[in-house]
Amino acid sequence: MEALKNNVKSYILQEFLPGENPEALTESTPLISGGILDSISTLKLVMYLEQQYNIKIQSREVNARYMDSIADIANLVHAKINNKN
Amino acid sequence: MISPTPSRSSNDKDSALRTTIDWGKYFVVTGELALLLLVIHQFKIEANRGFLELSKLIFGGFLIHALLPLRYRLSFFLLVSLGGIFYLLGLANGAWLIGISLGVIALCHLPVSYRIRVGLVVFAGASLIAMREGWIPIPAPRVILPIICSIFMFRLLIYLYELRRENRPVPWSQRLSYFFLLPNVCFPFFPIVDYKTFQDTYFKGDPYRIYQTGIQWIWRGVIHLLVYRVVYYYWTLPEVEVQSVGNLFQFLISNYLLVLRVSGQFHLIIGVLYLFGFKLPEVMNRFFLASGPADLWRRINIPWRNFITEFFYNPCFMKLQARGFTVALLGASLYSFVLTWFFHAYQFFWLRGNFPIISQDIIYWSVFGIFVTINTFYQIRRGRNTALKNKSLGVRSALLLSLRTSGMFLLMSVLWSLWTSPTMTDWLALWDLPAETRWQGAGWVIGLFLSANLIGIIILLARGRNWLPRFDFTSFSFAKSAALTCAVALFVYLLGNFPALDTTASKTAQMIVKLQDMRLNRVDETRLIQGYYEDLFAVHHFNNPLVEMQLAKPADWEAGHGLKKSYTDELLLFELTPLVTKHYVGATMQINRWGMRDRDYEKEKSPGAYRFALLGPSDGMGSGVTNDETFEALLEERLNREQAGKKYTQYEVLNFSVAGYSPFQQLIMLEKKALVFAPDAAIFVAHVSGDIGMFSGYLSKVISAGYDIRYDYLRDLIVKTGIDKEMSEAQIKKRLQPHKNDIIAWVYREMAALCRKHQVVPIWILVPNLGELHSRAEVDHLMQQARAAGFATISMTSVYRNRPSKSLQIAPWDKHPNAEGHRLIAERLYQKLVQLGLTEASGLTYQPTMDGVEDGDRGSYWNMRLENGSDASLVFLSDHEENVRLAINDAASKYAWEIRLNRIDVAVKASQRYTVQFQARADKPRRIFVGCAQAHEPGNNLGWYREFELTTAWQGFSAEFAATADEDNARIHFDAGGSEIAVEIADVRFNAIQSDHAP
Repeated sequence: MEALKNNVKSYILQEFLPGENPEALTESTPLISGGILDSISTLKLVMYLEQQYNIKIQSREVNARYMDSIADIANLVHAKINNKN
Repeated sequence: MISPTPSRSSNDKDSALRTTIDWGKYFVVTGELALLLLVIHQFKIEANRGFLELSKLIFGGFLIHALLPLRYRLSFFLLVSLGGIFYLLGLANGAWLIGISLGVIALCHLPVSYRIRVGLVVFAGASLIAMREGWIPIPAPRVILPIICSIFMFRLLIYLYELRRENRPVPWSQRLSYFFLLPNVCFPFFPIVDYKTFQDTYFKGDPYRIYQTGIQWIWRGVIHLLVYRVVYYYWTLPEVEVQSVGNLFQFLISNYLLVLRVSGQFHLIIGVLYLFGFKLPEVMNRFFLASGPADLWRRINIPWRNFITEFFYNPCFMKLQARGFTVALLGASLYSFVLTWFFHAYQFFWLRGNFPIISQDIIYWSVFGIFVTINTFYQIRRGRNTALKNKSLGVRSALLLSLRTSGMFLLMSVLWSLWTSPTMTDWLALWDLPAETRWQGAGWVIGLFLSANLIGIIILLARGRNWLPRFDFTSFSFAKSAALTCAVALFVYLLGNFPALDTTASKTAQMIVKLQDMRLNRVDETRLIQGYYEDLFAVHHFNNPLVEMQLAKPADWEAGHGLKKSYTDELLLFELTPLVTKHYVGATMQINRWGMRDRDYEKEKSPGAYRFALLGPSDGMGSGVTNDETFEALLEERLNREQAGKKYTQYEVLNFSVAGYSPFQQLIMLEKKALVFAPDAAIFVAHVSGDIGMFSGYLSKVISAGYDIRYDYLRDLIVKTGIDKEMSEAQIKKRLQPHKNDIIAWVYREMAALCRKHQVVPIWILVPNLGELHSRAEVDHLMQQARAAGFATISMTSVYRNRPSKSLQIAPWDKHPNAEGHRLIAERLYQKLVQLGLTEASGLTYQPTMDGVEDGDRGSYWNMRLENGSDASLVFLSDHEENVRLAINDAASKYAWEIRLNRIDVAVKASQRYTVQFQARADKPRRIFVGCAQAHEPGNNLGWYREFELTTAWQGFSAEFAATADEDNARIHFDAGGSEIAVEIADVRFNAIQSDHAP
C-alpha cells in the first residue's frame, strides 16, 4: 500500500506539481477539491493508473469522492487490484 | 463495479460527533439562525417565492432536527420537506404533487426488470411532456408542474443510473429525501444534486461545523441577493438607452452581474440543506474572478459541471482514449458542450414549457465550448499553474493574471449579453451607437478598467507576500465563524434600520428602503407594458423577476385568434374584427359591427345626444374584463343615469381603443374611423411609460412593411435618424430613443389639431399602469406636452389610491386593471368630466384654451414628490396658491419623507439665520417633519429638520435656523408620509433674520 501511495505521489509531483517540495504533498492533501487536479489532470492520472496497474477505473469513479487525496486513490487502486485477484 | 473508499465509511469519531449534542454550540447556531431569520424578513429575501414562509419552517425544523438521534433525522427531514410542500402549496396541490412524485419514484422500484422500469419512467416522462405542452389534459393543478419537473428532470436520471449499481441497502427515508428536498418547493431552478454525493456526505464530520458552514452559505446567498437588488434597481439599462460606449459598458457589466440572483438562490438552497446535515459541494466559487474560460467552467455552477463531467465527459474521453489524447479531449469536449446546450434547453422546457432552439443559445455554448477547449489545450501545452501553497507573484505575473481576470470578466459580459438577449437582432442593435454620442463615457470606462487592474495587481502582490490575511471563512474555527456571522447579521440588520433612524431622509436611507423589497425595475416594468402592446414576450432566462411572474401564465393567454384583422388604412397595421366574440387575456370580448369593443351604435348621433370617442390601447379597450365592465361602459352608464335629460338627452361613449395601439395609431384611428361618427369630444388614453416604446415598435413595423408614411415630420425623422428598411426593430427603437419627447409632442399636436379642425373637444387622460413607479417630473412633463398641444388634461395618477396593485390586476402575471380597477377609473373620469364643465349650462364644448383641473397641477410654489408607491394629491384651499391641503391616499411605509411637499424658490446663505413660519392643521392629530434642503440632487439638508405636532385646529408655527451652506436653489420641505391623515398648510413665510449688529 505504501509503495502504491509513493508511486501515485511521485507521478502527481512530476506531472502536475513540478518544483514543489515533496513533503508539502501529504496523503491527505485535497487534490481535486484543492484545485491541484482538474478534470484533464485527473483523466491523465487515471490513464496512468490503468496502464501501470492493469486495472479499469469506471468513469463514475473519476471524481473527488474517490480520488480527492493520495490515500483515496491508493484505496481505490488497491480495491481494484484485490477485486481482480 | 464501484469500489468502497474511505470517504464513505464512518469512523467512531464521526459517529460520536454526530450523536452528541453540544448544547453550547446548539444555542450559538440557534442564535445565529434567529438573526439570519430577522434579516431575511427585514429584506423580504425571495419573498415572492415563498421563502419567507418556508424560512420559519426551516428554522423550527432545524431546532428539533438537531436534537434528534441520528437515526430519526432523515425521516424528520423528509417530514419537514413534505410539510413545506403542504404549507406553501396548500393541501390539495401538495397532495397532488406528492402523489404524482411517489408514483414516479414507485416506477423505479417495480418488481420487473431494470429495462422495463426505465421504459415505464420514460413513458411517464413522455406523459409529463404531453401535459407540459398541453397535448393531453393534466389531471392536477398546473401550478405544481414546474416543481414536479424540477424534482425529476435531473435527479431521476441520476437516481436510475445509480439504482442499477446499488450494492447496499438504502433506507426509504434517504431515497425520498433525495427527491423531496425542502427548499425545492420555493426554488424550481435548483442546482443538480448528485445522488451518491448526497448519500456519502450526509453528516460527514462534526455536525456543528456543518451547520455553521450552512449558515455561512445562506449568508453568502443573502448578500448576493442584496447586491443583485442594487444592480437590478440602480444599474441596469434598457437596450434602447445604450447610446454610447459608457452606456454599453454599463449595460454589459450590469447584465452579467444579474447572475448574482442565481448564485444567491443556489447558496441559499445549499445552505439550508447543510442545516439538515447534507454536506454538499460548493455550488459556485467566486466565478467573477475566473482567469480564463476553463477556470470559469470550473467555478460557475459546479454541480452542473460535475454532472456533465462524470456522466458524459469522462465516459466519452475514456472511450476515445485509445485514439489518442488529443482526439479523446476534443471529442469529449465537443460532446460535453453540445449536451450542455441540450440540457439547458431541456431544463428550460421543464421549467417553462417550451424547448427553445434559438441561435443565441447555440452560439453562446459553441463559443464558450471552443474557448474552454482552446484554453485547456493551452494549459496542457504550457502546464497549469498549480501549487501546493500560494506562490508569491512577481509584478509581471500579477499584471498578467489581473489582465486575464478582467479580460475574462469583460468577455463573459459580452457573451452573457448575447445569451440573455431576446433575439440576435436585439443583441446586434446594442452595438449600433450613434456617431454623435458614441464615445461618451469612454474615458470613464478606461479609467475604471485601469483602476480595477491596479487594485487587482496590488491585492495579488500583497497576498503573495502575506501582507493581506487570507479570508477563507470555511477554515475558521467554530467560534470565529459564529462571531463573524453574528457581526455581519448585526451590521445588515442595523443597515436595514438606518432609514428609521435617519431623520434627514438621505439618499442612502431611501436606497435602503427600496432594497427591502423585490419588485420589477424600470427596465422590466417597461418590458411588461410593451409586452401587452406588442404581443411580444421574449425575455427567456430564469434569473429574472419578470420571467418568474410570467411562469404561471397560460400559453394561450394572449392568443385571441381572429380578434384582430388587417387594416382599413395601412398605417393602422391592424384593427378589431367586426362581429366576433373571442376569449382574450382571461375575458370574453364582443366586437360590434364597426369594429369597436363596445355595444352597437348607429352611425348618426341621436338629436340632443353628446358623443365621446375613446381612443387608447389595451386598458381603454378593456383587456381582461367583460364588455359591461370596461370603464368606457361604466362611464356611459353613469352619465346616462345621472346626467341624461339635463343638458343633453343622452350620452354615448364609443370605444375605438385597440390593444397594442401606439399614440400614433390612435391618431390614425381618429382620422379614419372615429370622426366619421361625429363625436363632440375625443378622449385619448395616455401612460407615463410604454407609449414611446409602442410607437417605436410600431414605426419599425411600418418601415419594414414599406408603407407610405404620409406625414412630413415622420419622413424627416426617418432621414434624420438614418433609419432604413433593413434595420431591426431593436435598432430602430434605439435610433428613435433620443427623439422620444419630440415624437410624443408631435403626435399630441397632430391629435389636438385634428380635433380642433372638426370642433371636437380634445381630452387627454393619464391612466397609470398598475404597480408602476413614476416620478412627478415625468407626469408633469407629459401633461405639459399635452397642454401645450391644446388638450384638456386629466391626470388620474392617484386613481388606484390605497389599493395594492395585486387586488386590481386581472392576473398575477398580467397587470391590466380588473373590473374593480375599471370601476375606479370610470368613477374618477366621471368626476373629472363633470369638473371640466360637462354639466354646466354651456356644456363641454370646444374652446381653444381648455385646460385640465387635476389637483396639484397649478402650484408654481409647490411641488410634491412621492416615493416607493406612496400616493397623495394636492387640493388648493383658496385662490392663494400657497394654501394647500395634502390629501394622502396611500402612505406606503412609515417614513415621513416618502410624501414630501416642497416649497420651492428658496435661497440661503451659509451661517445666515432664517425664520420659517406657517399655519397648519390636520384632520386628526399627527406629526409632520419640516426641513430645509437643496432642491436639486443630491438634496442635502441645509441645517434644519424638525418635527411638528399638528392638531385639528389651525396653529401658527415658527422656527429659526442657521443655514449650513450657500444654496440658490433650496426648498422648505414638509414631510407628511407615514400616515394617511390629511394635512393642510397655509401662509408659509421664509425670511432672513437681520442681524442686530448689521451696519
